[in-house]
Amino acid sequence: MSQLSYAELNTRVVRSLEPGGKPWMVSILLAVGALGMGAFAWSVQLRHGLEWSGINHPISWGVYITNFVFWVGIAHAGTLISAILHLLRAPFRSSIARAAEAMTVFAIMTAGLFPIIHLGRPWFAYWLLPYPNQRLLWINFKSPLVWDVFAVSTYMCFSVAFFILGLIPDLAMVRDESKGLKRLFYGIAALGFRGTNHQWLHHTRGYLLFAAMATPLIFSVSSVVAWDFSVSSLPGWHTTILAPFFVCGAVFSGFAMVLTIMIPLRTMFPGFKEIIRMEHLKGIAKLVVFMSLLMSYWYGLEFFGAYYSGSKFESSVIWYRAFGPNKHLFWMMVVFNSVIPLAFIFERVRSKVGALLVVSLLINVGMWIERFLIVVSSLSHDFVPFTWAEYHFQWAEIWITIGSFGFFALLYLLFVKTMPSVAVFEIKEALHSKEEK
Amino acid sequence: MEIDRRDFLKMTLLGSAAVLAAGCDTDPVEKMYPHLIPPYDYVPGRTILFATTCEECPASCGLLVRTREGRAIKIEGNPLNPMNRGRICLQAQSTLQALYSPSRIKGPLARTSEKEETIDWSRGGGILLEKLKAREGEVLYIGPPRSGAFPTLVREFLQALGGGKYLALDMSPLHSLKKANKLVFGKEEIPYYALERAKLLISFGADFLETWLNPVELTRKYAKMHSYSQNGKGKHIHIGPHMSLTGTNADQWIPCPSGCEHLLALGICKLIMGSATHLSQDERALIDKLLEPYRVEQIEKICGIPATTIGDLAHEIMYGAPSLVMAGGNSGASLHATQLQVAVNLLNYLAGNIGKTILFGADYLPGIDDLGQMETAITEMRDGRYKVVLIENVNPAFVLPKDSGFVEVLKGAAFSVSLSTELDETARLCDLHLPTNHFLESWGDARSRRGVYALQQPVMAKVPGFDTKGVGDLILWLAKRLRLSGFEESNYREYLKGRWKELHKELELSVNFEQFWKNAVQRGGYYQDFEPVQVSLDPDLAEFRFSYPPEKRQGLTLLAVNSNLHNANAKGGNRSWLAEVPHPVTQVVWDSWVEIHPNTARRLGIRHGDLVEVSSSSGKVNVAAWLYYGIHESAVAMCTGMGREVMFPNYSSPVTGGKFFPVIENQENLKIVPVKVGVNVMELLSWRLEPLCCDLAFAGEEVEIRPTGKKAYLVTMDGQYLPDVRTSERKDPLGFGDRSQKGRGLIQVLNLDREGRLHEPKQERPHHLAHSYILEHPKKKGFYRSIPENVDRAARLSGKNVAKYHDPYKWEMIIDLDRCIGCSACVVACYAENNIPVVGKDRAGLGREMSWMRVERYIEKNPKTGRFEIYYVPQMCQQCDNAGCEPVCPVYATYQTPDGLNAMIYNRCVGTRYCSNNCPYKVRRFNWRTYMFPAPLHLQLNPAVSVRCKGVMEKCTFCQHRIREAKDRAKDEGRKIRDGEVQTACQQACPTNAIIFGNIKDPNSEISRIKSKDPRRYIQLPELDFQPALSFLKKVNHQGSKA
Repeated sequence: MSQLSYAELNTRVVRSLEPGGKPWMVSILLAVGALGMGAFAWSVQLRHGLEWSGINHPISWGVYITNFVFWVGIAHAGTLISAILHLLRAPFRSSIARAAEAMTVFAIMTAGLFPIIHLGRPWFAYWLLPYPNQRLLWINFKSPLVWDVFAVSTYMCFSVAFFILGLIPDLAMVRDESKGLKRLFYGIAALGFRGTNHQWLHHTRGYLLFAAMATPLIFSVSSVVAWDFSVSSLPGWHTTILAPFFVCGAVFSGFAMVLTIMIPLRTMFPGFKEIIRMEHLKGIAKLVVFMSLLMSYWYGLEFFGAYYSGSKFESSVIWYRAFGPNKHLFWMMVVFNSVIPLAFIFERVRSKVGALLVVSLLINVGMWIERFLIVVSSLSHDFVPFTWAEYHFQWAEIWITIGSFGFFALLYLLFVKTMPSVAVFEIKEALHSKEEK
Repeated sequence: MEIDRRDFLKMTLLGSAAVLAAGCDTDPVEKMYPHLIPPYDYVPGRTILFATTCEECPASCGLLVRTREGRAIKIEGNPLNPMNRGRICLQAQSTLQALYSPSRIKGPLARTSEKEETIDWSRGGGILLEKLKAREGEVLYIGPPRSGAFPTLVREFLQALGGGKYLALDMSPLHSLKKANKLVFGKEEIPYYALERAKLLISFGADFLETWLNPVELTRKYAKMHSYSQNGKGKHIHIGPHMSLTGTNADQWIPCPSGCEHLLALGICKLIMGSATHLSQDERALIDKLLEPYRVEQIEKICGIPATTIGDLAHEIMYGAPSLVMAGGNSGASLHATQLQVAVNLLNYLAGNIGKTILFGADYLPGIDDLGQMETAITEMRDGRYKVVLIENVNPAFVLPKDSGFVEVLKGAAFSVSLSTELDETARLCDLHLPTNHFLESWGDARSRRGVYALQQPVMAKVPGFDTKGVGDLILWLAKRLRLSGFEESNYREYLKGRWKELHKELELSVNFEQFWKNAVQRGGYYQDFEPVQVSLDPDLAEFRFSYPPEKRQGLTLLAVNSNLHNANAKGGNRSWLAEVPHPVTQVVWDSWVEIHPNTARRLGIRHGDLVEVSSSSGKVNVAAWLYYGIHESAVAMCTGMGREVMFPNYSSPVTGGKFFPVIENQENLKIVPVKVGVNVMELLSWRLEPLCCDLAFAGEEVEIRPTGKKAYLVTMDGQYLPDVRTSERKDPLGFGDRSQKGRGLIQVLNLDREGRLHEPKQERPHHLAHSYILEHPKKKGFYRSIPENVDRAARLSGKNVAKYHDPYKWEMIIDLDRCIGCSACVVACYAENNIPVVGKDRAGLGREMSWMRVERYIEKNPKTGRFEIYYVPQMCQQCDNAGCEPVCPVYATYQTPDGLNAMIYNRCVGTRYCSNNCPYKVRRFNWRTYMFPAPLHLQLNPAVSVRCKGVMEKCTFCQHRIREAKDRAKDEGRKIRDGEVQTACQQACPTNAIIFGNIKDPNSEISRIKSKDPRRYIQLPELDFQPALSFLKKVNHQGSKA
């Protein structure tokens, strides 16, 4: 394999920051359009109440909470790749770490919107924060929703800090390579990083520390999101497997999303093809197979739990999920999450970019469906048969969901044009260590 | 008369009411609050009760109207009136929606063929005066049935004008009953049914729990007879082609084809003849002669009822004394209705019930004219006899079948005037509309039976913005302007007083008139018992002949059944509550439906919920099919009274709107528009009167049913039919689904054996992990402590000496399922009391109805008999001690109050809806939008309860504001709240006393007594350990089965 020189690497990355062509503009327009529709739908919802979402009685959580869990899940992969794989020194990590981290930051930002969007009175969302007030009103620390606020906000703060910390040396590199205003801008962003030994020492130590601290957060945030469900008494939610189940699901969907993003990134910047190499993608594909098998295990365990509990409410809802009116969704989920990813076992499949993209997209769809089923089917088939109901999508939630993808895409598109989307210093490090061998 | 504490309380409040009432001097009085000098004893914020009388149906129940700041906000029953004893039906409660109806007409209106013109009273009255002055012909007055002074006034008025006709129009098929009593006993009256004395009740189609006769009184007595107590439980057998709500409460339903019921009754008569030892020789000979041509085998063949069943019925009557047999209702109103009543009278006579459970001399519900008179009036109108037609608060253009010809003759009438409060179908055809007061704004009186003299008083000043006159005042005014003699009284109140003076003289009371009058106003009337009179068989009965039903026909028999539960008997007003509260049996909202037997449906290729075309010789309608095992295979049933328009906000529809394209509702475009609710069954019926009694034949129209191939847009509130894994398409070809409670123990049943012992039915074994769910399990070593233990511990840890928990009150409720008949009066009471918005059909279909309380209906298959049985269970917030909703709320918007309620703080709610998810009973409601209370309906809102905005959760509060009111009063008087002092709205309305509410901390309270002693008590979903404060008493079934 042809080795990239340091200079070549710099050039390629800096070239990715030049103004984008037509495809990029079109993508931006699409993203802005979707975001605009979503914002419009939300403004209608703010004015009229949650009329135009399919939520009803008894299904009082629907697409918004599904989206929240989905985006929180996506937000996992970045930290997992940059933190855990950094600690484990996984070889394929360095080229994709930056892009994955950015994905984490933007996904958690998107996810954070949904609990607010889903509120009946979002203008009072700040009541969920413990702030001192004259009325001496406090929040209820027993409520998992409060834990959620803390878990998500901690995770968001942490991933943003981690992201910025990793960016500093690369921003300094871009500063050094550019002139004029651009140099000023990146100079400010680089926070005076000069690449001295002293600075590198602190940076490396700090980065390692952050990686170590981020690791438990990966587990905590999805577990807390799972507790939103499992702390309730609702059959289908009230189960102890939910926390590890959600963590696995999050990692699984996160990896799929990484693939979904990396492949277009390579197409967009042909220079990246030799930076984000096929081996890296294949490495992720292997992880996807592993996670897929784990997911299948959890799906099976849900059935076992329902059977073993002997509780008719539990078994009724699990059967309903698989064989009720939502059975198409359920089996779609099983195929997308447990069957199709197994194709990556074969070297021939996982070395084809097209196959990687298609399967990763299907996994994303499957994982969204999984969250939707957990949220909705449990609520629609609970204790009192008289209140059983079905869920019907409405336009506002559909557009807000599309808008959330627009929001995410817009942030990401702006990111790749303003910041180095591969971790240059880490790749250099890797090149260096290879040279030494 | 007994006065218990509740009555005492009511009366103390009535005292203040009387003062206010006495303050209203003449009618109309125009006063707007706040008063500069308020009436004595008037306190803003305090509820004032006015006693008056209901005019919704001829039963004339006593009402207590709750008013706040001069507005009527809630209707309750008057406990002093012997007709309803404080209980009240749905329709009476919804009369507030007629009072504050958005479709109520605001002032006089003149109408020509080209245009409508709003005019003032002087002009409108002038036009009418001119027409009356001309004296070109007679005057026809059609009004609702009234039994007091009013008919006399109108008759005198018409007499003075030189002749005319007064006609009280009511569609209830009651004349067959009167006529049969005339034929059999020589007394043309409706007798007093002493249900409470019977042990066995057989009803031939009589839906006495819904609409027939005086349902509230009969329901109350039925509860006494049919609910389980130490003395056992009476038995109720329902016979007829249709199992109405009344039928579903019976212990047995015997399907009988329409028009054959009288033969079945005759068959039973024949079998019990032998044991009727109390008959004299002549009587025996007479009855023998009457029954001679009929043989049981023949009846068996015609009715399709096995002889053994007839024998069993006879056996029940012979050994089940005292018994009571009733017949009537719309499903019995065939062309044989009088024959059925005669046969039933004979049956009662043979069983010895006359004079025991059926008492004559009460003369119930006088003042209804039969439809034969209507027919005559229509003919006379056609002949041009009447030059002026006055129609007041009845809607013949809608309630009469089309071929009665009423609409045509009214259009052709020389001059027609509507005096209705509503702009209804009839009023639209009239030349002049002079709107009169609603009965809650008027003086009046009624005589529901001998000895009950009920008085009506205005409970509030006229609704602001409505320029109306009392109908009595209008007639007196007309009489004066026409210079007729004998109408000296200045207003109708004075006229009424004059008539009551006569009554006072007649009654020979010791008190003077002023005192008598004041008492009557305070107590809503003057009440006496009646003297029963003995009756015997009329010898002319020997001439009576029963007929066989016509030969089997091709088509199906249409039963135009009636039930005030859903349609207010087509009464005027904006009865959106009734449209929104699901029909108890079908759970349909905002719609009509046709009930078809599953076998018939299979034959016709109809699935549940299909849109079908029902056609008769008179017309055809498209309506949704509701498959129902409770109807005879040869019949289909539809509800009367539907098809009227309700004024409702035109919220944009989430159902017809696009899935991707925004549906935006512009606040400025929100209007109140008429919404048609269902179809009018009168489009199918033809004008056929029963020849003997002149009741309309509601049953027996031959119809054809044909699927249209489309699915109907039918909204039902029961979700349990949703395809479960256990009912596949293949197993359930009719698409009815499994509407059972799926063994979840929400409704529990005990079996009563013949010896009067209760047995648990065979139950499913609890699952092997049950002990880890149930806190009181003996083997349990739980992680959690019960709440009181927790509170004690917290108090100890915080250094306080005594834990203050649930002190001195802890409110609990018990619902007796054996008493509950599913009538949903409680649900309407809850809507009225708690400002619950009505959401309409589309939103109800999405599960966004706002009712805090619902009556769940489950259709269970009896494992023993293999037949379906219908059960009802009211469901509302259970105010759990260990509630699921409380810990999950992130902002403490819901919490446990010291008196054991789950309080809901609307202002603090941010709308996460987690509480609703975590509520196993699913009784919380979320405001998906801000709902409208179309003016002037907003005047009905209860100021003691906040109106909720979009985005907040709400739920039943056990009428927390009533508790608050009682607490404040008790505190002022330095005492504790007495047992029974606080009544929740649902409890107050319940006609069967199925709801018991009180303080569980008081060991002497009724609720403590029942909770500690009654072996029938259970709670729902005990394995969750939510410790609900709402418990239930198990339903009791005779020998393990019911209808």
